[in-house]
Amino acid sequence: MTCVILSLSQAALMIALSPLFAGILRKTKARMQHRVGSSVFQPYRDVAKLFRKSETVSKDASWLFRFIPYVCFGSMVLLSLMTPFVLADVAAPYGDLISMVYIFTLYRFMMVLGGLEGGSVFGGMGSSREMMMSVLIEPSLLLSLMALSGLTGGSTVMSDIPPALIGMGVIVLAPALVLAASSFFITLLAENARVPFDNPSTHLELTMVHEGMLIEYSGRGLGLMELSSMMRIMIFASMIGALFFPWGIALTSSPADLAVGVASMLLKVLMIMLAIAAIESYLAKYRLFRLPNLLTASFALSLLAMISLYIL
Amino acid sequence: MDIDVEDLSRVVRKHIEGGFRLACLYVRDAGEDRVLEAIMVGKRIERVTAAVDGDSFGSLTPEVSGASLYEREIYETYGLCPVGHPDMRPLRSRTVWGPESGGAAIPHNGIVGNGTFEIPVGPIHAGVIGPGHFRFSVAGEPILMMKAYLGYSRRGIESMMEGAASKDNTQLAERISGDNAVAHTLAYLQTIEQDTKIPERAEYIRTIYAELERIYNHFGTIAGIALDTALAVPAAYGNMLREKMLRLNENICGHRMLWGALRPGGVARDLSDVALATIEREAMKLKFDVNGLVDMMTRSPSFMDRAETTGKLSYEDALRLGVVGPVARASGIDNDVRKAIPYEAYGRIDLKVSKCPSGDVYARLTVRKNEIIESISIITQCITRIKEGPVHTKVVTGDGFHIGVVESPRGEAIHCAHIENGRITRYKIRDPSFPNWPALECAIMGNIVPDFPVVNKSFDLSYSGNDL
Repeated sequence: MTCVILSLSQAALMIALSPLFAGILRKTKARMQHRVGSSVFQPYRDVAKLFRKSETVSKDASWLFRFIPYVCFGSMVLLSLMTPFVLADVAAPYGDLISMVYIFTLYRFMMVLGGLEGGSVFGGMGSSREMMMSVLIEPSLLLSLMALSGLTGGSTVMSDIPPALIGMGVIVLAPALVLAASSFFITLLAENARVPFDNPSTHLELTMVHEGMLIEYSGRGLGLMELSSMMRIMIFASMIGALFFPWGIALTSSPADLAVGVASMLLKVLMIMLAIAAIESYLAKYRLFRLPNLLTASFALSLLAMISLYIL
Repeated sequence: MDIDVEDLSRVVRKHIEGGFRLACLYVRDAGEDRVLEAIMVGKRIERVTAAVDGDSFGSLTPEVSGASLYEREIYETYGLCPVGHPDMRPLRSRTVWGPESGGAAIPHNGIVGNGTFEIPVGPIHAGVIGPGHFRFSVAGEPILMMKAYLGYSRRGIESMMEGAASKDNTQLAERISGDNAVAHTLAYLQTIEQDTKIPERAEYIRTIYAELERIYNHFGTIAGIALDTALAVPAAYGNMLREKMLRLNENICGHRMLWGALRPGGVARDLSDVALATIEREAMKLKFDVNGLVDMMTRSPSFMDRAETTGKLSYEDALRLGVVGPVARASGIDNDVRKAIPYEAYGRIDLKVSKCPSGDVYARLTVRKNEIIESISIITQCITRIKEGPVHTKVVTGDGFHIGVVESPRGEAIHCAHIENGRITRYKIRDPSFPNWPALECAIMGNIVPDFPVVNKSFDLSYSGNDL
């Protein structure tokens, strides 16, 4: 019973904090550009505003169009229930790495359909680009998570990984872990439409990928989609924090452990957000046809992680 | 030179072989007749006139590609048909909604086949830019063809300029293309001041204004290129430098975009020694800033990958289309009015024309950077040489044909005025964006769709200047 309550409350914490971290990311980027930037709480206001607004739906769209935001949001809620955040032992044994990858894929597939539903050119362009990237993201995402589970004894259940890694001691800062984590970080940037894959702050019609797919959404639908994409980056960041570098995560549900768990996790997510902000400030968006190279590099990193498991 | 209309094509071609460029072609009413006026610019300005009989004339376009837009314009505004013109789409009058709303419908690009699509973009864009409709024919991401349909910001400025030649039209000239206000005003003033001797001090001050305008425009373009490649920090830095220049402008003349700084016969207000010292100090500081800004961009491999070989405009195409300004110079064409036909104080100072052969986004960026540095040098030279004296004089405008040619930040701006009995009967404006828009259509071919914004920005074309 305690486990269920804790699982639910850590999922709630994760959802509640995701707009804040999105705000921190924006604020950091603004400060790096010598701008004051909007408040870190602005994403909350944006989402609240979108929920109050009425929706406009293209006359070419079917029932699927209205349905998609709920599927996307639902899949992210599901993932936040599955991912260890503060406490390692969540709703086990449902938190499986492979099902996680495919829930991400479901989310992406639905978003692509949503982009096509509106019948606008930009949605179609965004969807076609997203599918091209998706083909390349999936293998490296899977392989990096496989390398991680191989390192910790072969279990793909997420709640088994942090205790196993911590149990292995400092020795786990092995090449396999570092390589898999770097590969995973590149897929984080690709999955979440960050620079150099996509420009999250652009609304230039012709270059959009993620924003292109959302272009026909408005009101509550857009609010849900925006919230889901903030949650998605939060889930990715906490996966790095909880699975690849789990030190500090609460293994038991004692209050002291939980306090350390919350503090260390917030610190880890904050550091990842700062790293993303730094990358976005110093890299130009890559030429579209150059992106496969970067994703291939990510795949090669996770392949190396796999190999190093067996030869080291 | 007055010639027969049948000979026009031959004469124009002969001039082009002799190093001239067709810079403007327009029609004017002369009593009952209509006269074709061709302005050729090279080391000097040549004017060729030919009276037209009836409602048509032989098109120049099959032999001189650069004439295409001018002939379409003539057909649209005067109803004179250029016989043999290969592309008679309407130039400015249209609507995307089709003929029922009063304009001509935009035709399909005509590229069909398995997997090819036509993407309509605009005229309303997701940014604070002018209105323009673009049609991209694509096969996947690569662009097979792009056609620009402009004219949404047409105001009829040319006919507003007509009337008494003694009337001060500087306010109108400033609004042709707001960010090129000084250049267009100078071109306008050249047409009415042709018989007036402007005081030397006023000439220097005008030159300083023109260069200040160039600097802030180029900073805006460089920042835009950075922003369109998602290079956020240099973009913010570039916009900061542009803002610095705008504040300097406000400080010295009272308007951020230098509007109202010029007046017929001179300048509106003298620059004090303090103001000149401020300009010099700011300009010297800027030299380091511009190098820092561009280095910040070019040191990023991901930016260079976007900029190099993107949006290539070859030397031959640039020459064929009669491209002007920084775009032409980035394709290796040595073309700068300030050097070729000096006006104001440009004849008295050293000026190096910046040139780059490669014709891509990077070349256009480099040319703009070098021009900022050159502008700083021009400003310091002007400040060193400027002497005390009056800053305006009385203007006397004689009858006849007067032309003003000025190098605006976007390239050569041409104003032609026909004055009869103290009245302007025909006023023709040729903004540098007008001949450069087809060059964008040409340069974008073979690039991918997501690269269009950065290529477009590197051309930095004006919508209002083109639409007039």
